[in-house]
Amino acid sequence: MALNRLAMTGISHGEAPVETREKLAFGDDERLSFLRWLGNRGVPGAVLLSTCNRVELYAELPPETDPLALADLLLENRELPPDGRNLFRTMTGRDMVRHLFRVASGLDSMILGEPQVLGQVKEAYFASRSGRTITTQLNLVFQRAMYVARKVRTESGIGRHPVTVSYAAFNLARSVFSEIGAKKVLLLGAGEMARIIASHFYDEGSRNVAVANRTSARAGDIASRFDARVVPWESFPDELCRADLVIASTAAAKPVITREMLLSAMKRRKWAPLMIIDIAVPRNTEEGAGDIDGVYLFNIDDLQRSADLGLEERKRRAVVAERMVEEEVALYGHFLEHAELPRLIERVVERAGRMAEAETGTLLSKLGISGKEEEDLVRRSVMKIVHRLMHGPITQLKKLVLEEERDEAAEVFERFFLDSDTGGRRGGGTEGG
Amino acid sequence: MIRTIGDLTLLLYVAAMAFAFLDGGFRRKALHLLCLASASAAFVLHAASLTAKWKESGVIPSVNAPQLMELTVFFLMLTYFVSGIFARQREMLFFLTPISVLLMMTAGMLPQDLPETKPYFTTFWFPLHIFLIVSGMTLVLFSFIYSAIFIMQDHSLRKRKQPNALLLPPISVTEKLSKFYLKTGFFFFSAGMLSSAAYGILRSDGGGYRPGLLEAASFLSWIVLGAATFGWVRSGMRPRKRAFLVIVGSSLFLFIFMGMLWH
Repeated sequence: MALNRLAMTGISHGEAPVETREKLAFGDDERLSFLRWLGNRGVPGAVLLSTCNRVELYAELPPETDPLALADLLLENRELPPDGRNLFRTMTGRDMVRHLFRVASGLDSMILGEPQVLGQVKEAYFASRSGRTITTQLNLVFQRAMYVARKVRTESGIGRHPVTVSYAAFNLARSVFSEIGAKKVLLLGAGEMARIIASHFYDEGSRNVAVANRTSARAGDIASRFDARVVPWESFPDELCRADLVIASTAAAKPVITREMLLSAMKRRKWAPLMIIDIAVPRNTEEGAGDIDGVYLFNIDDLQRSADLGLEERKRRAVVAERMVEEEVALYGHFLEHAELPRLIERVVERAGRMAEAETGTLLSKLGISGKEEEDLVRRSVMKIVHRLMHGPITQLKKLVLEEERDEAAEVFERFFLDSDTGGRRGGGTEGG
Repeated sequence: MIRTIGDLTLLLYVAAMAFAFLDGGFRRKALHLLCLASASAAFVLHAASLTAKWKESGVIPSVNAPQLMELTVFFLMLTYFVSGIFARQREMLFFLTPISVLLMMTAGMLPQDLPETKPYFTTFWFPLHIFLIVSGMTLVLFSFIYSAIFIMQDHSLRKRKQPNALLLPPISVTEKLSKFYLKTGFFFFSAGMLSSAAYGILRSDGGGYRPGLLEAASFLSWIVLGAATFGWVRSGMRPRKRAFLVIVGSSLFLFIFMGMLWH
C-alpha cells in the first residue's frame, strides 16, 4: 500500500485572504455533490474540509495523475479562473499525511492548538464515508489523523492554556470553582464580549443565569439566548448575594458595583467565593473592591495578560506536538509499507485451514469414521500438523519484516503457498473461497 | 542496604515522594499512578509491621517517640486512602509523602528503647486515647495543608499569577476540604482529650486528678482550633482569617505533639 497516490490541495488562512477563501468555500449541502462530481471526473475517493479558515481537498488519485490537476478541478467546480492555482498548497504522500495530522491537531490553525478543527475534520471524514466517496487509503489516514490529534492534544497539553480573552475568563473561573456547571451566573449589561464569555459557562452546563440590564428589551434578548431570567436593574445588588460569578459589561461611566455593596453582599453570603469578571471600560467595579475577602476580581487587562501567557505556553508546547506528529508520520509510513505482509500471512493460513478441512472430510468418509470424538481427534491432529508446518516459514517471514529483502521473501512465500495450484495471484483475496 | 521490612517501607515512601514531586512538576497521570502504587505498597508493609509489633508486645505500638511517629505516618496514609474514596486529592501526596518520609527517618534515627510497661498501657483507655488523638492530629494536619493551599491559591489569584493558580485545586474545593477535615479532626481531638481526662479521673478515684503542663498546652490548642471550627461553622469569619487560624491552631497542636514525644 503506497502513500504516493494520496494528495492534498487547498488554501488556508496562511496563504489566502478571507475574500479568496469565501469564494472557494463549500456549504454542507454542496459537499457531497462536489465529491460525486469529482468521482465522475476519475478521482476514486476524496474528503473535503471546508471551514472558515481553510478549504482543503484530500484525495486518492488514479495512478500517474499529476496532483496539481486536483487544484484545477477544485477551481473548475467553483468556476474560478485557473490562475488562482498560485495560492494553492499541494502535497502528496508523506507530506500530505503530515499536513493532515498537523491540521487535525490544531498546529496549522489560526489560533494555535484550537480544538474545533478536530471536530471539523471528523465531520468531513464522516460526510465522505456516508456518501461512499472515500477509499481504503483515505479511510485509514483519516482515522489515524483523528487518533494522532487526540493523542497530541492530551500528551502535549497544547490546548490546555487559554489564548482568547473569553476562554481566559472561563479558565480562571475553574481555579475558583470546581463544578462550573452548577454555578449561578449574573450578567450585568448585555455587551457582546459578555455574551461570548457567558456562552462558555452555558456550554459547560450553567443553567442558572440571571441578566440585569438598564434596557429591559436587551436583557430579554440575551436572556432568551441562555434560558436566563431577567432581573430588574434596581435589584441586582440583592442578586450579588446569590450569584457565584458576575460578568459586568455595562456602558456606565461610573462603577455600578461599589465596595459597600460587595461588603454587604459578602456578609450575607457568608463569605462564599464570588468571582467578578469586569470587562467594561470604564470599569464597572469600584477600585479596591477586589481586596475584599472572598472576592476574586479580574478586569479586561488581567484577562488579556492571561491569554497572552496562554499563547506563549501553547507555542512552547507546539514544539513537543510537532515532534509527536513527526514520529506519528514515520510510524504511519512504516505501517503502510508493511501492511501487505500480515494480510499475506492471513491469506495463507486461511487457505491452509480450508485445504486441511476438505482433506479431513474426505479422509473421514473414506475411513467410515462417524463418532464425534474420533472425528474431533482426527481433525485436531491434522490441524496440528498444518500449524506446525506453517509455523517455521511464517516466523522467518515475520523476522524479515524490517529487512531489505522483505519483498522478495514475501513473493517467494506467496508462490510457495498460494500460487502452486491456483495459477498465480488470480484468486487474490477471494481465492479458494 | 535493605535488611528489614522497615527499610523497605521507608524506601517505598521515598519512591512515592519522588514520584509525587515529579508529578507536581510534570503533571503526568503515569507518575501519579506510580506514586499511588509505591505509597500503597509502603502502606501495606507498614500496616503489617505495626500489627506484628502490636502482637509481639501486646501494647499498641505508641509507647515511645519512634513508635508514635510511625503510627502517625500510618494514620496519615490511612486518612488519605479513606478520604480518597470520596474526593480526588492528587495534590495531597505532594505534601503527605515528604512528611511521612521525614517522620519515618526521624523515627529510625531516634533511640529505640522501650519504656517499662506502665499499667495504663494495657487498659482499654490507652488504645482508645491513641486512636482518637492520632486520628484527630492527622485530620487537623490535612486541614492545615488545605488551609495552606487556600492561602497560596488566594494569593496567586489576587496577584493575578494565573498559571500558578491553575496548578492548584480550586479555591472552593480547598475551603470545603479544609473545613471538613477541621470539623472531623476537632471532634476526634476533643474526644481524645476527654478520653485521657476520663482515665485520669477514674485512676484517681474521682478526687486527685491534676492536669499537667502537657494537658494545659493541649487545651490551649484545643481552644484555638475550636475558635476556627466555630468561626467556620457559623461562617461569620472571613476566609483568610479562618485559614490563618487553622494554621496557627494546627501548628500549636503539632508543637504540643512534638513536645509530648520528648516528654
